[in-house]
This record gives sequence, structure tokens and C-alpha cells, in this order.
Amino acid sequence: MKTDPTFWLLARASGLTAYVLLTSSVVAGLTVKAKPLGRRIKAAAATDVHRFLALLGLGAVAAHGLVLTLDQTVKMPPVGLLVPGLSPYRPLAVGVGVVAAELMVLIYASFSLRRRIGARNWRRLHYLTFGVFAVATVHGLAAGTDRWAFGLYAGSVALVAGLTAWRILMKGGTSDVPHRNRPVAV
Amino acid sequence: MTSHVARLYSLAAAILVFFVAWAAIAAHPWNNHPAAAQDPRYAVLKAREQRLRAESVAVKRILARRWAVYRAQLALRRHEIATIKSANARARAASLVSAPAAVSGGGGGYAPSVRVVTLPPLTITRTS
Repeated sequence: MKTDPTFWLLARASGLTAYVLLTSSVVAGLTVKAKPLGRRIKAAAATDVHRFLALLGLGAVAAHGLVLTLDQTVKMPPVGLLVPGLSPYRPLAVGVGVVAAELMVLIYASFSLRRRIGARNWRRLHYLTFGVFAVATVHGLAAGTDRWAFGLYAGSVALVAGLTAWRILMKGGTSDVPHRNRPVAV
Repeated sequence: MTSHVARLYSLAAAILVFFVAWAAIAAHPWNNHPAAAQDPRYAVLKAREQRLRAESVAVKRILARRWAVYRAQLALRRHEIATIKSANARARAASLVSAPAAVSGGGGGYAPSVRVVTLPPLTITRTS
């Protein structure tokens, strides 16, 4: 067993960073519609930040996977990062994380395909983000080894749930702008 | 609309989060026993320690059993040796007691005296 914990620490730090970035991206995406701060945040800017945070989150996820293959603590084969359930370390929990990462890639790619697949289909696909967030939370709790980060997960879930509830409650009160007039960052 | 300032802040915040997470994990200021127990390296070491302890107990048990058998056999062997020695000692004593009677005609109760004789010189002859 190697005693150098650098890659193990990097893997955990990159995983937590990816989760924070995913949460931030979801919050930014909810901010576009929920407008918890009124008109102080421009929808176009929030959309741009939402996409950029998603890209940064994907980068952190990629770093998380890459560092895990280099680490000797859990001995993660590269195929285990692509196919759910092939990880020797907590196969179910890691497989859930693999599914979340692949869905993240799919949803991010759909930004560029919005005009091609249509706004309605894009929106349906985009609702998967909530599933990705939930699955990533389960992955962090089940596969993660940092129990002290439970507060981070709880806070993130509370924030996203609160903003989602706010959006649902405010949906009837605010005028829903037609999709074609919404700012689209392609 | 691309907001470079917002992107820059996002990137800076992401880097800050990464390093803060790294520092927090490396320093593990909230580390306690349950958290340490969740570390897979700790779990591996714990399992190895338990396996070694179990093996150690089994080895000690086998060793104690073998040692008990050895001690029993040693005691038996020592008893046999003591029995044989005592028998030999009794036989020797008996022979010492009966020996004067056997040689009583020559030495008056003592062992026969040494008699010095002169033998002719030893000559080696080789014939070819």
C-alpha cells in the first residue's frame, strides 16, 4: 500500500469541488427563472454563469475521475469510471456517481443542441438536472469518506429545494416568458 | 451574453473552493473515530489487524497444545529415565554386593591384583 496520500486528497477535494460547482450551477439555473433577488440579476448573465459553472463542474468531475485512477487507495480502473458498477470500491455508490457524471455531460451538450432538438425537448431534458443533483448527493454521501461534509450536502439540498419551491410558488405569479424570447446562451 | 467578469469570479471561486476543500481534507480538523473508520485505508488496516489478532490467538492455542503434549511426554520420558537409572543403580549395587562372593577365593574379598609379565619382543618379519 502506498503511503503518499496526495492523489487521495486531490480526489476527495476535486469531488467536493465538483459537487459545489454542480450546486452552484443548479442554483444559478434556478435563479434565471425564480428570480429570488428580483431584477438585480440579469437573466442572460445568470444563464451564462449557469453554463460556465456547469462547464467548471464537468472539469472538476473529470479531474475527480482522473485523480482516482492515479490513486492507489481505492484502485479505480479507468473502465470503472465509464461503466457503472465496475468499480471495485463501493460499486453501487460509485456507479451512481458515474451515471450522474454521464448525465451531466449529456445535459451540458444539450445546451448546444437546443435549437436542433427544440425548446420543449430541451427543457424536458434539462429537468434531468434535478435527478443529477439528487444522484450526485447520494454518491457523495454513499461513496464519500468525509463525514464532516454532511453539512455541505445538507445545505446544498436545502438551498436547491428552497429555490425550487420558490420557483414553483412564484410560477403562477410571474409571467412566463415564451421560450423563444428567453435569453439563450448557445 | 457572455459576462467575462462573472466567469472570472466563478473560476476564482471554484479554485478557492478546491483549495479550501483540499486544505480541510488534509488537515481533517473534524477528524474523529467514526470519520477515520470510514477511510478505506483505515478499514483495510483494521481488517488486517483483526486478522492478525485472530491468527495470533490460533497460533498461541496450537503452541500451548503442543507445549502441553511436549511437557507430558517429557515428564513421562524423565520418569522412564529415572526408573531405568534407579534400576541400573540397584543392579550396580547388587553386583557390587555379589562380586566379592564371586572372587572370594583369590583376593580375600578384594579385586584380583594386577600381575606384571614380561612378554617376548614383538618382531615383524616380512618375507618377499
